[in-house]
Amino acid sequence: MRQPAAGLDPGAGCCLTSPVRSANPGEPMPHTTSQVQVHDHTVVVQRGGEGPDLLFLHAEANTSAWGEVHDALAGHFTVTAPIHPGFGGDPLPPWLHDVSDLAFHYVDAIAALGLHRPLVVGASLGGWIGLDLAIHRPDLLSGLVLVGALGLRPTEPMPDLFLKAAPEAFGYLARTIDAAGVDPLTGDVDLVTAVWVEQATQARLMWERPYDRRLERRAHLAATVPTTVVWGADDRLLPVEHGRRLAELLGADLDVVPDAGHLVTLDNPAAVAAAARKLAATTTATDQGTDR
Amino acid sequence: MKIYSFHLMPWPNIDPDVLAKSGGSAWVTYPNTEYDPVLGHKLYGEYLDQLVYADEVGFDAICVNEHHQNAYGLMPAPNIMAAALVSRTKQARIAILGNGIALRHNPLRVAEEVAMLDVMSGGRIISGFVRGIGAEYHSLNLDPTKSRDTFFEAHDLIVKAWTEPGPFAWDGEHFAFRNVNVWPRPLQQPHPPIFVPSQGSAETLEWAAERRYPLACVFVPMERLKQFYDGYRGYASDKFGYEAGPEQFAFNSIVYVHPEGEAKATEEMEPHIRYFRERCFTLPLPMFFPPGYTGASSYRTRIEIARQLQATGGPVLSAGEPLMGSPEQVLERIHRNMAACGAGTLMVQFQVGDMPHDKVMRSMELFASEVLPHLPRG
Repeated sequence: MRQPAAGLDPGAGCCLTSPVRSANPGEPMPHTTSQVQVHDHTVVVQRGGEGPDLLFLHAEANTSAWGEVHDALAGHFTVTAPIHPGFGGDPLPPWLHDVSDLAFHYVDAIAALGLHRPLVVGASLGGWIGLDLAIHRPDLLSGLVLVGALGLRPTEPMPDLFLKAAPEAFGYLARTIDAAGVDPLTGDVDLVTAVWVEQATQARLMWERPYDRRLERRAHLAATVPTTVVWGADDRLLPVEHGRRLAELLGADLDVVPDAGHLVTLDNPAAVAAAARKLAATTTATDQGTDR
Repeated sequence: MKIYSFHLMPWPNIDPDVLAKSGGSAWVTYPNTEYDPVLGHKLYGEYLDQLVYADEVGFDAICVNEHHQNAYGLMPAPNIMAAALVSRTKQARIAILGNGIALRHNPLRVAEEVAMLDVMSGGRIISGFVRGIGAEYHSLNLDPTKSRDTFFEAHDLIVKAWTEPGPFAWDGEHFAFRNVNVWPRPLQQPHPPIFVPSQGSAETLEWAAERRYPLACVFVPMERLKQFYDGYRGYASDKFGYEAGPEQFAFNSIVYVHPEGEAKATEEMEPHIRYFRERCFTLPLPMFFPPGYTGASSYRTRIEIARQLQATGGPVLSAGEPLMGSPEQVLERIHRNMAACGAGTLMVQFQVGDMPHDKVMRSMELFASEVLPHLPRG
């Protein structure tokens, strides 16, 4: 199914911008949208589902609205999906210098959101944030699912998506995106502008180096966090080999998903949910008695 | 009226097939294997000769500028060009339009170099400061979201380094120094005149108006030029309590003078202008305006412009009436264009795209003998 890459969520006012919505989503799982104060920053949080706590960290490219992957996860978890500072209509915060600022933001957010050792699922940039969080505070997570996670320095240069117009750039991220609506020369001006404004935060985090040179040496600090790496077999941004390196570095399982691009969260949400359930089952088994 | 000689120093052999293969742009990724250093040597000689000639015949200033990794303009280091001109010219000011101070990791290097040029030239430097267009942020891999703030801080640091006794410490958001103590200091006091080449964002208009820095616009159509100048004038009168004069406004125009008049002049220039529009001035929106380079409202304007350009096949290069024709026609139109927008400085561009040296020189000579003497100067 092709998903239109563009669509403002009118129900969320100015707060949620997502170019990715299912063309034919059926009835989404019930979820709420609220504003939560996290230290000095107000964030928009979507919640839904039932089960153990799961913190979903969205990717960098306008995938912040509630979507199919949230639905898939909400069948088994209480999904908490905050919008990162600087995304979804929130202006680039002056304190945001690099990804570790977001990792520390989530140290605050986990407390402010009342989450107890959530399973963290992060896609692309969200995976990078989750991994950095696990390195700094492994005690805060019960497990980590890294979906096409950025962060580790690639051995080959990544495609320069900043040089490409939005439709072409989105094509690198997932097979199921139809990004014609965000073409600056033909798309709706409000939407094209909203996408571009959000890309400023992406630029702040990823323009000069879309990875963290320090991450490899620090990765062992996350060794106590059970981790699964999920990678699209057809990832055009970072090849599966990169996912393999990441999994080896972390001592994690690698789950290669066929017929999926970089954002498996979009191309195969069920595979992400399955990986999360599998990891949660093992962590629950090994976690008995040590939990607090 | 002040008359400057403006130059881009373009590469004249941009191959359309190579251009198509590199995303349609002569910037950032147009392969440098297309650059021929032997021809490059000849071109630098000719282009410098053209600017030196402008000094000899009495132009008020000659202009150099900074662009990186492109075939549009071969002056990545404008201070090197200015240095070459300092030693070969006597009267004209040398307008660096400008140094990309947000592109330097260390703005004190700019403070030093411009002060050196000012002392060496006997106080003939005009010091333009620019953020650099979006493409430079791609070429130099600099975060465009920091561009504006970095520019403002670099400016403040450079001006302080020129005007306040050193050593002093600087502890800013983007730059920190234990000892700022620039040697040499500039000859002109308190510092060389500062120009602001601009694409007209409201933030820059206000900032320049507050400091009374002349605004220099390049390839801005007359209608927008008036908007930009009116914006500046509005800030000056409403917010900063003064009336901005014509000396605060400059713009460039392509000029071609031909004894046989407009039809012949237009016919002879058409291929060079087409080359420039279709091969040099090729900046796709993501390259020209990377995310965070400007605010949302400025970006909306850019979307409109990009759509107009797509519809019309390229940028409008002339502000007002095109200055191609007989000396009389050009003279008359210069007056009308200047009056239309209230600018006091015209930056004349003789060389365009792949225009050969002898053709440029013929036009310059005719301008020098038949147009320049009849323009009110001062």
